[in-house]
Amino acid sequence: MYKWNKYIGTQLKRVIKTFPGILILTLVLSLGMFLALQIIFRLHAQREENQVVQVGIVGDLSDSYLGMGITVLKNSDSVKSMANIESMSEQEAREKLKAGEILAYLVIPDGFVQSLVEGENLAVTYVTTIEAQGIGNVLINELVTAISDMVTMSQNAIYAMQTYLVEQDRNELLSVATEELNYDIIGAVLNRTEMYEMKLLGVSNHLSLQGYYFCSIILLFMLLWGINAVFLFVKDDVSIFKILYARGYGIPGQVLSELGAYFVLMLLNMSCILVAGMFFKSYLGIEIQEWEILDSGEQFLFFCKMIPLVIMISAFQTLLYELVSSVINGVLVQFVSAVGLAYISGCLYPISFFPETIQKMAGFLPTGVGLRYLQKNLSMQNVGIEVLCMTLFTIAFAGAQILIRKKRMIGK
Amino acid sequence: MNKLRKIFLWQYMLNKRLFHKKSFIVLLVLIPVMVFGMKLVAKQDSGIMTIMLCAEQEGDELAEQIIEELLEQDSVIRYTVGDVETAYSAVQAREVDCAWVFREDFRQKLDAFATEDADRQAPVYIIAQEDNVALMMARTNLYGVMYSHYAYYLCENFLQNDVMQEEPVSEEELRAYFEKTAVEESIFFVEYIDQKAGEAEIPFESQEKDSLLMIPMKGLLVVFILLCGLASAMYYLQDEEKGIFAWIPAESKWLFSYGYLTVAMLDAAVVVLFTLCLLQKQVGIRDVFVILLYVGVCAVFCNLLRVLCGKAQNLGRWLPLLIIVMLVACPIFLDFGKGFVGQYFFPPTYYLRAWKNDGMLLYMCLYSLVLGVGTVGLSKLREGL
Repeated sequence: MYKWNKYIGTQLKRVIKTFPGILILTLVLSLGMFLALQIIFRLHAQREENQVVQVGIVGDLSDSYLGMGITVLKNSDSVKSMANIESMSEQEAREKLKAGEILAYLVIPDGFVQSLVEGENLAVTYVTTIEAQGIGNVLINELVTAISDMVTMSQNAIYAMQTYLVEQDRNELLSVATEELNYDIIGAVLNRTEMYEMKLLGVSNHLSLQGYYFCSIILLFMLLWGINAVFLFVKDDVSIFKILYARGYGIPGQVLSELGAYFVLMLLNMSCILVAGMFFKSYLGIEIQEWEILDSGEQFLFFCKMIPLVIMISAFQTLLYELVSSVINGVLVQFVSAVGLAYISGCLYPISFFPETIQKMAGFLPTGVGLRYLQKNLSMQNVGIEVLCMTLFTIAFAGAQILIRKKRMIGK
Repeated sequence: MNKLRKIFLWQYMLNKRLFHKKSFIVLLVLIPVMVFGMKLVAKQDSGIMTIMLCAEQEGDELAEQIIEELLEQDSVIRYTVGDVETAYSAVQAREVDCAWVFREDFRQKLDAFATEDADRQAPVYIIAQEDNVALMMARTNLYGVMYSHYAYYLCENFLQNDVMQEEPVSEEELRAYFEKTAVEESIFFVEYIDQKAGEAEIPFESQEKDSLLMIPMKGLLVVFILLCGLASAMYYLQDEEKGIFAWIPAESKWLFSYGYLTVAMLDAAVVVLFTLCLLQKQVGIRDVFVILLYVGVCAVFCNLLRVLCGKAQNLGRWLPLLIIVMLVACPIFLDFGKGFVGQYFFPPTYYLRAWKNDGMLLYMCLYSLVLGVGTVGLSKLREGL
C-alpha cells in the first residue's frame, strides 16, 4: 500500500508542478470562453429584438403596388423577426455587401409590377456572396422561396381569371376585374395571420438556450482541455513502465494512479473555471435563468455533481494519451475526438438540429451522456441512469487503457 | 538544383518520421471517413426545428395534400406527422417545437376566408409552448403552402361572386385554366457579387445548398490543417530542446523551420482536398493553389507562435484557448460578418473567405507578410535578450 501511495504521490507532484502554468492558462481560457458565451448570448438577444440579418433592396419603389408590397413585407412578423430590409442605391448596396454589412440585396427591375400583370415576369435578382454561408443565409433562402411561391401563385390566380374572362367573351371586365382581384389578393396576404390560431401552452420543464450552452461549453472545455496535458501523459518510451512493473507496480495500478492524478488536475482546473466563471458572469452581465434560481448551496452541489463526469472524461483522455506515442498525434487525436464528439453530441449545434439517427447515437456516446447529465443536474432532475452509464464508460476506458499498456509493454 | 534536391530529401525524411507512427496514418484516413459519414447522415431528415403536422379529420383530402407538400419541401424545418391527441403531449414534452393542426372541414374553412364569411374560423391552429422568431419564420412556410391552394379559392370566389354572378363557374374549367396559365418560371435569380464575369445568374431554387450540418465542415477541416502546423511547432521546439538541430547553420534555421512546419500541414492539405472532393465540392487548380497558400500562411502563423511561446509546453497550454477562440471568431459555425475584426487574427478566416474570392488572396499574402515581419522582429528581440 505504501509503495502505491508513493507512486500516486509522485504522479500528483508531477501534475501539480504544472498546475500554476496551467492555472494561468485556465483563467485566460475561461475569459475566452465567457467572452464567447457573451457573443452567443448577445446574438441571441439581438434575435429576440427582431433583427438577425440585414438585407438591402434596390430599385424604383415608386410604383404604388410595389411600394405597398415592400412595406407589407418589411412589417410582416416573419420578415421583421428575421431581417431588416433597407432601401438603398445599387452602388451603396454593393459596397455594403462587400463590406459584409448586409447579407444580400434584391434588385427590383424597372416595370416589375407591370411585367407581373402582363405575365412577362421580369426577374428579381438576389445578389449575395458565394462565401456567405450560414444560418442567416439559410433563413433568407427559406423566406425568399416562400415569397416567390406566393407571388407566382398570385399571378396564376390573376392569369387564370383573365383567360377565363377572355374565353367567356367578357373582355370589357378584364381591367376592373384584374384590379379588384389584385386588391383581394393583397388583402388576403395582409390578413394571413387570421389563417391560424395560436394555442400557447406555456414553457414547461426544459433548458433555456443559455442553460443549454452553459452545459455544452463546460463539456467542450473539458474535452479540449485534454490537449494541454499531452506533454504530461503522451510517452513514446515505455521503459519507465517496464521498470515500475519490475519493481512490483502492476499495470492496473499504474493506470489508475495516472488517472487519479489527471483527475485531480482536471478537478482543480474546473474549480478555477467555475470561480472565474462566476466572476466573469456577473461582470459581463450574463444571465442563465436555470443557474439564477439555484441558491448558493445548490450551485455548490451542481459543481460537486460534476465529479463523476470529470472522472469519465479524465479516463477517456488518458486512454487517448495511451493510444498515441508522439506529441503531434496526441494533439491531433485530442482535437479530432474533442471536436468530433462535441459536434455530434450537440455541444456546438443544438442536438435537435441533427437527424434522429444522430440524436439516438449521441445518447449512447460518453459525451452525449455527459451533456445530458449536466443538463439534468442544472434543471435538478434525476440522474441515476446517467451516473450508471458514466461509471460503465469509466470502467471501460480504464480497462482498455490497461490492455493497451500491456500490449505496448510486451510489444516493445 | 542541388538545393531543391536537398529540400525534397528533407521533406521525405520528415514525412517518413511522421508516417512511422501508425496513429498519424489512421488519423489522416479517419478524417475523410468521418466527414463522408457525416455527409451521409446530414442527408437524412434534419432541421433547425421540428414541427408536427396533424389533420383533425381523417381522410381530409386538402389537408393531407398540404401535409404531403410540406413533407416534400427542401427546408431547414423538419416535419413529422402525428395526430391531435399526441400533438399536445409532444409539444409539452418538447419532442417537437410546435404542432400545426389542420381543422376538420379544412377546405370549407379555407373557402370561408375566400368568401370573407363573417363566421369564419382559422383553418389551422398551432400548438406551441411559446411563440418565437423561429416559429414565426416557419409560419411563412405554412402560409406559402396553404396559399398555393387558397389562391385558387380566391380566384374562384371572385369570379363566381363578383364577376359572373349570373352564370355558374365550372370548377373543372377553372382548374384547367389554372394549369394552362401556370407560371412556372422563377421570379428570383441569384447573382454572386464575387462570381466571374460571364457566369450566368441561376434560378433561386437551383442554387447549390449545403446542409446546415455540413456548413462548418470546411472550416473544421482547415482548422485541422492549422493544428497540424501547431503540433509540428511543438514537435520542433521539443527537438530543438534536445539539440537535434544543433548542426544546422543559424542563418538557415529560419528556412528549415518553415520547411519543418509545412510537412504535416501538406499531408493534411492533401487529405482535406480529397475530403472536399468527396463532399462534391468542385476542386480545381485554383483550389489547390489557395490551399497551398493557406499552408504557407499557417506556417508563418505557427512560426510566430513558436517564437512567441519559446517552449513546447507553453505552446501546448495555449492550444485549447486558441482553438476555442478560432471556432468562435472565424466564420466556421457563426459568421459575424466581414466587419468583425477579431476574425482576421486567425488564418482560417482568410482561407474561408478566399475560397471563391480572389480579392481575399491578396489580404492572405499581406497577412502572412505582417506575421513574417513580426516573427523576425520577435526572434531578433529574443536573441537580443
